[in-house]
Amino acid sequence: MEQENNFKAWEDELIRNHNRPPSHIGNNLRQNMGFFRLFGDLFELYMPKMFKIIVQVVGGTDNVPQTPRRQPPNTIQEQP
Amino acid sequence: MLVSQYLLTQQQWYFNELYERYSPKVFAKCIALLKDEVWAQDALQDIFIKVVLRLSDFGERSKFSTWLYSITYNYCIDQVRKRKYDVLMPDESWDHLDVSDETADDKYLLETKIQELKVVMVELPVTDRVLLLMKYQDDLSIRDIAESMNKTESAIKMQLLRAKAKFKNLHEKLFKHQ
Repeated sequence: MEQENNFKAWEDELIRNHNRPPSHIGNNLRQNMGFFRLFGDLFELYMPKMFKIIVQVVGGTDNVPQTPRRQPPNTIQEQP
Repeated sequence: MLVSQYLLTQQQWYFNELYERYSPKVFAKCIALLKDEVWAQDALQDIFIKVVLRLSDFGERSKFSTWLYSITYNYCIDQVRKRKYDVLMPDESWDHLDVSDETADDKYLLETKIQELKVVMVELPVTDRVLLLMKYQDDLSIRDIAESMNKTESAIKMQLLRAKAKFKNLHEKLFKHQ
């Protein structure tokens, strides 16, 4: 026989009595998540540019050595 | 699993499912610990925002529910302490309690009538309430409780022993005549 557990019965009673949490809480959460996502996207989009501008303003250069671009296999090489 | 699917796709639908599945239990725990429905509603919202922000830290070492409930319990303890909204009998008033004499067995606690259980739990300090809920409501192991509370297993064993003793002591005081 299963052991009686009134702690769990109490929890069930609380869930029963208070039903589900009010729907406005779920809606607020979804709004907050939308804001977080927008903020994250903006951060991702503009932060590298902002950083570059800040580096230039404080006297740095943006001459970062770039790796040569990979050429597709059928590219006609220019003759020197 | 819903959590990994959400982390992978960032689709709102998966989060909605998580919220629908776990919010009633989290809400019930908040009410049990904060003893106020409006406060519990605010807590529920804050807890799920914390969950969104920390979801990528969830390492799947434990069950999602264990991780979520540990955030819930720690949040509620902080709230109660911040507002100094604890019980009529603060921790110091229990200093005289001899744990070895008062130790209650699990059966005693589990079979306490719900109406009496509610009254006794309301009177206990919030950390003891949390420990008893973790142990008897969520069936967490000592190891999981220790991890959630950021304490050693031996410290948790001792605290649990004291919480059980306080429970029995208070229960006898309040309901002995019945």
